[in-house]
Amino acid sequence: MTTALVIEDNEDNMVLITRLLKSAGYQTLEAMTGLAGLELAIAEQPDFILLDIQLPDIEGTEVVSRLRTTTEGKDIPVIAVTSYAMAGDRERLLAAGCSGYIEKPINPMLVIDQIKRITGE
Amino acid sequence: MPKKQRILIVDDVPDNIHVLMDILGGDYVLQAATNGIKALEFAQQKARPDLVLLDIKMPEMDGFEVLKRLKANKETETIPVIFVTALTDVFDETIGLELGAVDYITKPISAPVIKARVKTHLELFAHKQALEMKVKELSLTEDELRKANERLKELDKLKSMFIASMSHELRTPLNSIIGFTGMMLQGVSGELNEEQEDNLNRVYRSGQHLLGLISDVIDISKIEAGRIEVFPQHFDLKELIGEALELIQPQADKKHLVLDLTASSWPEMFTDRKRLLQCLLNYLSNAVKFTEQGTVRVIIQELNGDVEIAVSDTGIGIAEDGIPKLFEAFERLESHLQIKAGGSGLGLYLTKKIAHDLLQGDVQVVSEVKKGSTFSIRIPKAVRLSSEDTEVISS
Repeated sequence: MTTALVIEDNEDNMVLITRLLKSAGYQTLEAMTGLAGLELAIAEQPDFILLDIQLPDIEGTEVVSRLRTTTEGKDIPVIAVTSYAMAGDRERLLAAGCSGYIEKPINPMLVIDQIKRITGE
Repeated sequence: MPKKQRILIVDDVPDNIHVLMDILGGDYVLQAATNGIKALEFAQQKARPDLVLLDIKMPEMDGFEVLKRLKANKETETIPVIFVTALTDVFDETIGLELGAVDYITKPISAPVIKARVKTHLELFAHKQALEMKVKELSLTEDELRKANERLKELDKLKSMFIASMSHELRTPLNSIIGFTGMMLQGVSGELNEEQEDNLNRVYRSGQHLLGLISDVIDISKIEAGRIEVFPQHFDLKELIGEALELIQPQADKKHLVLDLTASSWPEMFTDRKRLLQCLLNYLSNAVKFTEQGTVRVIIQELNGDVEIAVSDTGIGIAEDGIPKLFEAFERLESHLQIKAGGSGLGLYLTKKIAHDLLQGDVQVVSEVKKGSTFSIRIPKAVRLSSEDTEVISS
């Protein structure tokens, strides 16, 4: 079974995305801060990570950069979740090692397809 | 009774002073000085003279020197000075007038001439002062107005920013409402019966509608506050138009409208793709809303460095008197169809704002009642970047 790690600080968003993922047959791991997410990623090595870019502790880009320096986490695909207001950051996100991004707010009708397109499933 | 005007008489010969005092006495407050130094002192006292009658030939300091010093001092430079002198040489008169005296009277003096000239110069001086006062007042008023205007602009920006951030706060919970409703509609939380699905669909649609309104308000407020950034990128116009048509296709299909595309060329674009798409979708959804049968056509044209994208429909059209108001905020034309169609009344205003303020172009409309409308946007193919603009993102 494919495991997704969701790093997201907004509870509603977390519930929404994890329920959608579960219903599509994914297993989910949850972290509400960047540091907790990093720890979980290294310990559990999920198949991919959905990463909110605005987090309370460290920036999403920082999470990716740090993850890329670890042997356990350097190859895990990371999908950034960003709002359009941060469009200028996208190139930086891709440069930091994200595989792609999903626009916020997520669209429950489309999000699973968007994820599959990025992870290449 | 107006205050009596003050005249300072300067002459080293007391008899001459007395003659002038006899002529002018009663009508004015008179003061006399028998030498230049004394005269300068009097001229600088608090009750300044309104006119100085000045002799030229005096020991120690002559009248020319006194005048020079009066003119050199900010406090006394405006006091009118009339030379009253025995020097009849035109040369002396010239010097005196060039130094800034308002008049030059030669001795022996004639009482009526003195009286008349003194009166005239005092009047002139009073008018001049009144005029200067007025100018000063006006420039003060202008200054205040300018400041008030600046303050208003500042407040207007604050208002716009307030609305933008307020609306942003509204959007977060609304996204939850839409998200969870959407999820239930997907059947993620179990099968829905027909009525439940219809109920949720209504919640979902209303939520989307409200979100659209809020997003429009945020965009407009941000543009008005000058806080919206342009994110230019290189992209293919053909692909953008394709995306817009694909998004609008379901609405057009529902009304059995034909979507059509005509392009003479496909320019390479370098502008804010998302904002351009927003404008096009706005035009397209209006066209579909207000057209009951026929075709909605997109027409692309290149015009010296610009690209014009027109959306033409075979809909209800707009009466001539309604056209000037179209691109204003909250202007919705009275029409049964319009009310049925919903919308915020902000769409065209926002489109114009985006075209104008962000994409450096403009919008246009041509319409005929019952025949249809053509809304167009004309923008530079490549947005001009100022040094303040943000970095370029590539697609």
